[in-house]
Amino acid sequence: MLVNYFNLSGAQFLVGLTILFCGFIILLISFIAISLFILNKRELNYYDWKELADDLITMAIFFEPDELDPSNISGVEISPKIKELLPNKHFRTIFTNQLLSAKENVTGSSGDNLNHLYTQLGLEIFALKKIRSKSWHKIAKGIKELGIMDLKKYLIDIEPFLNYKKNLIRIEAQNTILKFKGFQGLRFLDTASYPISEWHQLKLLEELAQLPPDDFTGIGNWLNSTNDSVVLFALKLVRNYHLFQFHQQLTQLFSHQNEDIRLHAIISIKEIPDETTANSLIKIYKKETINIKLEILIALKQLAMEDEIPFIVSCLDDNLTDIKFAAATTLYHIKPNGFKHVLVHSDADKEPLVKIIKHLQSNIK
Amino acid sequence: MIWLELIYDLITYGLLCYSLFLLTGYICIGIYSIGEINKYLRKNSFTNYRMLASSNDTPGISILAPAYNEGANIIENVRSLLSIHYNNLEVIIINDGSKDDSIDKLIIAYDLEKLDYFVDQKIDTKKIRGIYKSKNEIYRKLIVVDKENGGKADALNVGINVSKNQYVVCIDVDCIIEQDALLKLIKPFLENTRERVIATGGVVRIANGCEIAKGRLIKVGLPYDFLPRVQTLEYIRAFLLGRMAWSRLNGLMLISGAFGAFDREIVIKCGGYNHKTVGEDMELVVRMRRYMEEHDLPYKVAFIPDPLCWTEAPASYKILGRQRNRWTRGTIETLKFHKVMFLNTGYGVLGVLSYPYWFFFEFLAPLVEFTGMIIFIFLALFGSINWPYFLALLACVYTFGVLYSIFAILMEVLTYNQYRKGKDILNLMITAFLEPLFFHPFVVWAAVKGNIDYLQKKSSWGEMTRAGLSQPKKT
Repeated sequence: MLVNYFNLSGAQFLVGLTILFCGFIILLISFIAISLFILNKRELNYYDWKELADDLITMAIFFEPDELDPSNISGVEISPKIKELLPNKHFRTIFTNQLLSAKENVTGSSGDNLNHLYTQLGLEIFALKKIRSKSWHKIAKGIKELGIMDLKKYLIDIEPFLNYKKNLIRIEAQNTILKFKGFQGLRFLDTASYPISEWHQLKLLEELAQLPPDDFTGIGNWLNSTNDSVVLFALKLVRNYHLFQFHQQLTQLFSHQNEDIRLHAIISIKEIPDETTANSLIKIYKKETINIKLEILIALKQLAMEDEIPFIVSCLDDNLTDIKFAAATTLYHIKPNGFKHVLVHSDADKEPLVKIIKHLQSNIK
Repeated sequence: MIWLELIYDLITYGLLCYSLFLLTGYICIGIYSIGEINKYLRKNSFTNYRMLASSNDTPGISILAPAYNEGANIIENVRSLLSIHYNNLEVIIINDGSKDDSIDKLIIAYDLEKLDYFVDQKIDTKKIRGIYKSKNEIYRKLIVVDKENGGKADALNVGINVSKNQYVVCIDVDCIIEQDALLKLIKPFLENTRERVIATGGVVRIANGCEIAKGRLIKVGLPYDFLPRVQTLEYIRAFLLGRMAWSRLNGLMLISGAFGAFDREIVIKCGGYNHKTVGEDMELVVRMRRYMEEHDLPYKVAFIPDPLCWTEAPASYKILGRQRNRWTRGTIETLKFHKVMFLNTGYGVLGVLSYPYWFFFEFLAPLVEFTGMIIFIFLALFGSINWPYFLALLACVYTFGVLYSIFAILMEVLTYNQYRKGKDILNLMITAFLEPLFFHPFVVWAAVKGNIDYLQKKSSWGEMTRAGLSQPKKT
């Protein structure tokens, strides 16, 4: 009886669940249908609206202000249709995206015209609204917009986000400040407490590449920063811009406790060497990790002279094939006598050196 | 006969509890993945991949593409890989002892010459017959390795030995990869500051039904045939819902062998791909994770919900059966190799959640289903079925299966919306209703056969004949 009672109850429970699932299926299918309808309608509008936006943006790019009266910057004529559509969020998004994309690809007076169009349409108000919202992606988007449109007057609104806890907002704020202030915009690194990812470092370097290379103040401090990612970024700056004045500081970083920093200090010092660099690298070689030893040997390829050959030849005796290969490669590049030392080495006819020699002789790039 | 009733109740309620356990698991995974996809899409809208492609400060990447008897399409496939725009890139094609004319075709098409290329055998592999590079400067990124046949894992290990870069991207040579796919895959390695990213993977989609020309995806389309179509649905469900949730938990145990990126240093420290399993892709990820856990190193296995790679799905039950059989054996082997992690808190999420999930839901589920079916037949023969209960359970499980698929379709529409036509979505929804009836039982059977083959120590991959992606499709 008891079993029967439970069986019946179990079945009822399952039937109940099935009905619930069926209800959800109907609900989800309806949701899919509605979503598809909206998406398709939006897609239909998208092409029309994009064309409208493109036409106006093109007009703005080629707009020539009154030469006789430059103060008259009334700008391009806005069609009633655009005025009518502007309150529509989706149209505004399409328009703003097109405008931002165009702005990133033009400079000079065309760029100024686009800036004017942006303010003329009151789009900056919406960007500021985004910045003041509570949603992280909206804030980041607002900051990015103001940055691309070069609206420096809103610097004060963006600065509080420079050391913000939310990653994406912080990155956009830092990039924007860089756009506004050039190299001076990097001063946020003085107080940066969050790590700067490699990805963000790439973005910053890319932004900097657009600017004239000057005003390198602060790098000395950043090389001593307690934030390791700031030190790594500073090393990249030293490397990319060949900043010889920091040679001494880079040498000091050879004893940094972070292996990555030591590694990048070696990679960077290759670009700003002096006559003592090769010797400094050889001095630290013995106590270093394998990765750094390899990097030192690679650096010596550029830096070593006849005097360093005995040390590099000694590396051919290392048990690790990677080290043997790197040492032989370095010797191969020390002209005219480096490679001769590999050929006369006692292991030159044994594996793996014999194969390494053949590889080098093949001059594989 | 109280004991008989007891056994009957145990089986009945045991199956019910297992089903509820399974359903709860799926619901949690589904819900958990939504937030993560949303976050990714919002974040991704800020990314400029062009910047990464053209930068000189990006890390080096080696693409490893093993090829076995791919002569028919190898030239096109290699051309497609060489067209990837990334500064610091090498493309390594490993001819795994093909019996066809793949290597000759490559030599002629890319003006290759054999070189005395030094390879440090960090991982033991079968013998390399020769390494080729092009005399033509345009193809300077290309390296072709000709080796004795040793299987996919061995070929990939050769590629790892030959590669010089920090990251290796393993790809099936016949896969079609999306524009920017490589950049999207590499980004997580550069983004994370808290832990070391050791591997990344992306969504694999079914290419049957798509328009493809010169190794490029031109237009996305839903497969016309039932089997590829149902696999399309299956992949949407697995990648968009399942893996996204596991990625959020940092509990991913599998990066698809079709397209995944790995930290070369960790791969080598772990000994590379294991050629003693047919599930080498999953086994490598698990071993890398285990290595990081055992060395107490903070790490992450990342996943990207963007469709990155399109692959041809088996279009016949015969080939599909072989594939699923192999997947099952791969899962069993991996779980067996790393059984020490089972419910072991020392391995964190991996030991407490990921491994048990794979054990109970991926490995055990088909066996429980099959056992349930056998018991059902047995009880039916003896007239002991409680039909109302049985039918209610069947309806409940069926509707849940359909509901989960419909939810996945909704997520697809709201996120990537690859199959834009209403007709395609309708077809997918119809497929969701048909799948539990015509596809799922076959997959369960293939998994059971995989278990039997495993016990019989069968270790073959099984011939995976493909129709090819470039031929015209029915619409």
